[in-house]
Amino acid sequence: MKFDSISHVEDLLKKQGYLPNKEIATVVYLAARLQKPVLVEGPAGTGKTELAKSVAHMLKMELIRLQCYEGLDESKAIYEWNYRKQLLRIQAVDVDVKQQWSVLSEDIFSEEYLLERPLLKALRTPSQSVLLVDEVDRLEVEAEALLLEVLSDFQVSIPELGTIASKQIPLVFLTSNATRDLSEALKRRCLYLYLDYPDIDREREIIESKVAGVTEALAHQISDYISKLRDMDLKKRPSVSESLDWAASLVEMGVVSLSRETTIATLNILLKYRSDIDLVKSSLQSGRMVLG
Amino acid sequence: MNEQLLSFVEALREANVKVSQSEVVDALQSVSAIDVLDRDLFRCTLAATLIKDVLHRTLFDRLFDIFFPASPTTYYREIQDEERASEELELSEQRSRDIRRQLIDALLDDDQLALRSAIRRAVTAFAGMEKGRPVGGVYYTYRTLRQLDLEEVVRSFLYGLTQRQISEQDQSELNRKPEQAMKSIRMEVESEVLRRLVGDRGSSAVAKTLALHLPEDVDIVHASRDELLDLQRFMVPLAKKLATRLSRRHLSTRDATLDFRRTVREAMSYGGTPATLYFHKPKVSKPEVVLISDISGSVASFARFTMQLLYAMSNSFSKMRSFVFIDTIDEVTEYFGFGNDINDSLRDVTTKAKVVGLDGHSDYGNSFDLFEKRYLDAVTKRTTLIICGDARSNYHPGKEEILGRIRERSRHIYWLNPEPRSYWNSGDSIISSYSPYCDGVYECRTLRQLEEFISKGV
Repeated sequence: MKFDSISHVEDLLKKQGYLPNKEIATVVYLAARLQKPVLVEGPAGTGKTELAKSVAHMLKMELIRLQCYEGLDESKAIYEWNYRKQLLRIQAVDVDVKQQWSVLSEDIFSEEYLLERPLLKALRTPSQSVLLVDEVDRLEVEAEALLLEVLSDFQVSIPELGTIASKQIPLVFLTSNATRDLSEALKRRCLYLYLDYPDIDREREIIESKVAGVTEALAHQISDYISKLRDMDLKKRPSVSESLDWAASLVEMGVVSLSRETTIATLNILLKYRSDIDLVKSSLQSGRMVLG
Repeated sequence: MNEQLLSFVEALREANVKVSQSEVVDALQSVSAIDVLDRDLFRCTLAATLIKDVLHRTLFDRLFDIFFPASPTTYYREIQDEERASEELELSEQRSRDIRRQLIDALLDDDQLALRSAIRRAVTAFAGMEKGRPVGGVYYTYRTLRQLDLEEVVRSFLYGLTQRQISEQDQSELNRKPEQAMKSIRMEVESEVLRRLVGDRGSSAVAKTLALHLPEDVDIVHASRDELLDLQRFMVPLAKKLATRLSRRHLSTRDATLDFRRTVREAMSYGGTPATLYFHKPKVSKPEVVLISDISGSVASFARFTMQLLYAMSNSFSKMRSFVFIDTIDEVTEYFGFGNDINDSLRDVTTKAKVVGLDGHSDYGNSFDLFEKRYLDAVTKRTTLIICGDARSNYHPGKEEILGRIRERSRHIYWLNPEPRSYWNSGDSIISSYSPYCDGVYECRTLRQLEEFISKGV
């Protein structure tokens, strides 16, 4: 799948309700064009996973997701042999034929007994798919190697079957919260996109498009206030999804304009740590922080 | 064009950014797929293919501006015209006033183009640039700003603002305006000077004189205050990384013990063959960290750095205690509590911590002695101890046997030394008498070294 132009990507994403900036649209365009995976890095809740989902949606492709975690291995990421079925097969054969082990072994190590896991599945689906490798930084360094062959050559080697090449080249998104440095080998193979918190204007647009019934003035106030919060030294800064939750609750409560009292009363939607809430509360009460 | 791109890559590599050959190929391919005349797009494209770490982006942007300045051709014609005009005009007081006026008006109207053109005139008039001189432009910037009389400009700008109609909402913004104006003028002058230097001597030469480096290569000991403040941004991710390293579970199945019950039970569905082995989940150890830091004058900027690290760490570790010393040791854990901003913490450490009891020169022996007497309960078998200091004890007894005793009680001891390795053990440095009791002694004067310690040393 190739896009006509970068603005084409922008339009398609917008239709999905994902508001891209120029950088996002450019990288998605290049990824499709060069058939390269994209490594999306950034703080939690800035729409990394959402981007992959929206791309899959807008292209009407299947989204295949591999959630990474410590201890993820080949049998969970790429493929596994279906032991149960193999065992049944072995037990089902005639005693006479049992001698012919070679025939049998060829049989039980065939496609029929192969369990596909996300990476293999992404390569073998007949139509092009979007592969999302989520939170790749949670893998140990050694386990990253699992991804390398898939990402650069779009193929998988299975000792008993040989190399399985992809029927089509999937669009690949890897997301990372940067809790550790990824290996050079992995980074080299990807295009890089850093998703930061949106700036005030983009955040306002996101709020307006996602929260029904929000007035322009309120959206403006909210986005302005959130950006001030993100400048503070918080344990966990409010993410985009949290600011959307907040906006939705404010609309639900019938708030037209932010006041200090409503803000303090609803802070727990935005901030998830007691110490953060106390900090913001005290700076609001002392007037050090002013609502825009 | 491709050639310019390659020298750009060369400059990136010179600044210690790792750019592999395949990435260069990607960049060239991508560039051919886009409209290169769109400068923003061109910038995004190069960044996506060449830069794989967000911390490298600032350096990338600065070099990009040097190698791919905005619309150069028409631009230089404009400058030439201006320079010709300026030869005719003497640098009179009248002209300076004129330029200042133009600048203030541009600021008041918030007109970027007018601002830029005023700055251009100012640089032509004030910088006194000489062709071919191999300088980085700091001096030219300084001269322009001084003759422009920045403070006067900002004052008039503020005055002009108050004259205009201001709604109540803007009132609160007013306090931020002068700083913003100063910053944008300074940045514009800097980039203008840079652009002219590039026009004069070419991108690569300018990039070389500027000797830009990545934040992780800034020498902490000789860093300016601003540079140190800047490093703060990188501390938090590093501290998080350290936290994950220290609490890393040993998930490799070789170390785990077999979950016999589960293995046998699951084997029933395979007709009794234990096809899959199951292991007990290893326990996650909560890291306990004790940080001891020398904050004497000889390591002052390093001390600030360790305080920054400490500050970042105290938010990532639930169990952490911190101590500072010069000749006496004191606990400072509470100053780094939640909600305290870094400057509050630093102020509290410098004003409240009792670190001088004798002559005010570092005394490692006495400090360790007091640590053992007062705070030994902070150290358990699960504790990782990190000591930061140059081990220059001013010829006081080192009392390394105490460190040995502390070592017995703790899990690990690491020592971070801000001095270059070649200075170690010279003069009053007694690092070698402590090192036998440490699991590792590391030179740590840049973020890169700190990062290496975190990813390999621990």
